[in-house]
Amino acid sequence: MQDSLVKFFILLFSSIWIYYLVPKKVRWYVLLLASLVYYYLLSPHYLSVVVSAFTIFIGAILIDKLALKKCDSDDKEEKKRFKQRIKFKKRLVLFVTIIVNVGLLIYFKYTNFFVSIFSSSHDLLKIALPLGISYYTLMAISYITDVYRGKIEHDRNFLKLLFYLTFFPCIIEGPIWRRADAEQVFEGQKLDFKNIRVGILLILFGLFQKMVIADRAGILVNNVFGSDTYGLVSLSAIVLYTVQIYAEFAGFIMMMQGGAMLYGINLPDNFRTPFFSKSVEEFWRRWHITLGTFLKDYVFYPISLSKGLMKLNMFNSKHLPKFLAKFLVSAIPLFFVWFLNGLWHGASFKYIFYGLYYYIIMMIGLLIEPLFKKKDSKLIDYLKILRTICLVLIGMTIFRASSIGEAFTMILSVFKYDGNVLSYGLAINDFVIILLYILLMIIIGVLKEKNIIVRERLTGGSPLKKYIVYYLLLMMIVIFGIYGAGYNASDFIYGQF
Amino acid sequence: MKIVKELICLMVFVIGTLVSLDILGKIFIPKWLTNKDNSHTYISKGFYDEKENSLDVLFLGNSDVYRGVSPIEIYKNTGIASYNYVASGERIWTGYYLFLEALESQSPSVIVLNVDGIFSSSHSSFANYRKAFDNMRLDKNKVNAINDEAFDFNFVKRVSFYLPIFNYHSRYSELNRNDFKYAFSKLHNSYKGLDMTTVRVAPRKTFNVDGAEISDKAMEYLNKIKDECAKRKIKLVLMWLPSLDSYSIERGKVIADYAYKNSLPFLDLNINYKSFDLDFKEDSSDGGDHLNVYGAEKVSKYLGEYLVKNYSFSKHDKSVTDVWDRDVKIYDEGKKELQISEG
Amino acid sequence: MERVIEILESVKPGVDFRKEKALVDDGILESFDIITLIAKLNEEFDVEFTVKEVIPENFNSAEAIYDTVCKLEEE
Repeated sequence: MQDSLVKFFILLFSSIWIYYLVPKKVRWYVLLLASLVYYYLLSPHYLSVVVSAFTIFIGAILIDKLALKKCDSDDKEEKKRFKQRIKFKKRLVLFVTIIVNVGLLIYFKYTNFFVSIFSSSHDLLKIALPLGISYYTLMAISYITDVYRGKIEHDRNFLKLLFYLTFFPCIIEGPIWRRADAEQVFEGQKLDFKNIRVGILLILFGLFQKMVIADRAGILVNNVFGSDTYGLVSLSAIVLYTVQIYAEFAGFIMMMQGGAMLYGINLPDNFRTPFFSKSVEEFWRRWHITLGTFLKDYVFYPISLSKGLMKLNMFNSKHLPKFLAKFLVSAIPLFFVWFLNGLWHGASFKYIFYGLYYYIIMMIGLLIEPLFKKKDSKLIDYLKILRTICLVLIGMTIFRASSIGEAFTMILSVFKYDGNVLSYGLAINDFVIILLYILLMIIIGVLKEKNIIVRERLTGGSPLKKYIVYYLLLMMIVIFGIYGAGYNASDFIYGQF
Repeated sequence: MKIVKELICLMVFVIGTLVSLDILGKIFIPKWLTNKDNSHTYISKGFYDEKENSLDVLFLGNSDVYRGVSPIEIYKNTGIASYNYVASGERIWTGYYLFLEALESQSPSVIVLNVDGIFSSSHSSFANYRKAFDNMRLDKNKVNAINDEAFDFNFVKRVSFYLPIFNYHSRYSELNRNDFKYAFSKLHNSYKGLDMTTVRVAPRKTFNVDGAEISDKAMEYLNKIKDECAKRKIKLVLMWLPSLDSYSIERGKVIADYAYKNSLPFLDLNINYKSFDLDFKEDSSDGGDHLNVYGAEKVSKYLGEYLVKNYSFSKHDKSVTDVWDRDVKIYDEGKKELQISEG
Repeated sequence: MERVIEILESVKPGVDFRKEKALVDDGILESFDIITLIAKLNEEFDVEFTVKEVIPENFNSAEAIYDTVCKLEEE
């Protein structure tokens, strides 16, 4: 198990007792302390997150102060001008705050990338990335923007913001929650056994996904990517990588949600059966949801609704055919969305390409949309799902490969002759385990679409039932998990006197 | 009422989980049943099947003992009941805990310690430690051993000794009938700790054995065994079975010095093995490191004579001799079978 | 109100906008449609939608859209 996960559980189980023992109103201080300890244990570079919290704290106060200013004059023109001035100042504060935060992110995460573009030297600067900076920067931007938009009020307590940015179940891989989501914490949660029941289930199933599925699939993926393989071997590596990243990411988020739930806190969902999507747009509404909604709310809409684009849109819709107008409406803001999506994932051209890959698919989709008549049938839906999965598999391959070139070699190699898929670290039984998992996820997904929430069905009712579920999950993790040095029969046989 | 029910379920769950992990561990521990894996399950589990306080002599030491001493041969010649309670690549700190564990159920009048492993100050392989402890009962000796700094087990390894499933879980795909059959059953070892082989491999080279120093750590555990024997009035005999690859005259001297200082007898069979007709060309199973059953029987004949000459042993009940007489037959048949299969 | 429905029909034909009460929540209006819709509303009513107004509650029904437009006109 990763170090960060071990520490997570240690902190979780040591803080939960204190959390429920202290009065409701101060419970979140326990979480703040736990979060700071967790941050400190994993990364000594905690100054940056404090700076982020501080800038948005000050920025938000200034914005709300400006908003309260009233014009004394009765003159209408005067009033309008005053309003304009306030608006300008508010905007200035917003931009400065965002620039400081994004600047920190760029400095820590992207300096080496830019250096490598503009200079031929390969000396990389040694810059240690502060823990969770990719996530908490987005949270900071969402907070200051929400205050600017008047959606939420500014925080009077700096520690609340520090807590919001550093809450330890969110700091490693998200979910990117909003300040409004965090309000429940400050209200104080009372002990509800339903949360505990479901939380434990989520932790165990998340752990199962990580240890039994993701780490198992990873064995073959690591052996295949970067080596010359063909046919079924390449195909299985491509598919298994997508299985791996889903099981790992969704499993991780599930553990974090489960952990937060033990405190009575609901974190936003990051996944909603993404592989049931009929298009890549839909996929991205169901995969890494909190990143998608962030980009929608804080990149797509602001750019789309900017004055310049609005005018362009009006012009287009009057002078161009409808599908083309719609295409252009989306093309410009979506470019930024996907460019940033790619760049956010990592500081290299590969990731930018990864983002733009989805952009291009969506744009092609919009362009050819009028060519297809809308027909609704189950079969077509299934074909659409299959098509989406294929496109996602290619996307994930780009994401995993060490370079764009390697990704395409890999994908093309699928169509060459076969190799032996069993000689890359996984045996038949490993494939069976992974297939059963995929089947299980499909069943859970179908039930979810029918509004049957499996996690609640499994933990409700008689107390014995949930323990049977916990027990089975635990045993499966213990037996089928990938952990430990592994048993090697040859260590034990003759010759080892 | 609801709370009570909930608590009962929780307790059942916790206990059930621990019991299940323990059961799984017993199933998943590999079953070392043949001389390909040094019969380790037989050696460890078979020891517990010996009638309480029925053994006269206990042999301690490393693999040289389970290949070089045949308690059945000693019994045939002298009526003395003995057992090789030993482990592969045994270090003296492993031997110390096996020694303590042996004394839980047996009260031998003589303990013969083969000193071959004493000059190793490095660790044995983790697999060898596992072989020594995986079939040991979970009692205070095992707990003390697991937590003894001498082994340098980290936290994860310690846990995996309490619950071996954590170490062997990946065997799930290769479990066979034996794993279930021998998971919980007692096991009787008719060879009394001899890892019998009839293979003959003559030495091809001469060995250079360097270094003749006993580390402080090894000395500490040697002294512990010596002191415990003195406390319990057990006679301790130091022995060095014939071994070409680890014996040297210098090392022999170091042990002789120690034996002299502590008034212990020291049987150095490396010096006088020709007197009982041991011939490495015929009697080694791997070219000079370990003996085969032919060598072991020659050594054992000598050891039997030595023990009878120097110590007195009381006669055994019929209940004990019946078992041993039956084991003699099984031993003879087993040897014949091996002679056919191994040549 | 009628003008709002006309605009809605021009953006997304074939939907009964008088009845639908969950245009956004049910996925009838996607983000592209909303952008086009806003562009037209801005021009038609001489208002200025900002990101603040782009929340599902303001776009779930023709009435909600009309109310939002009225609110913006007052400002």
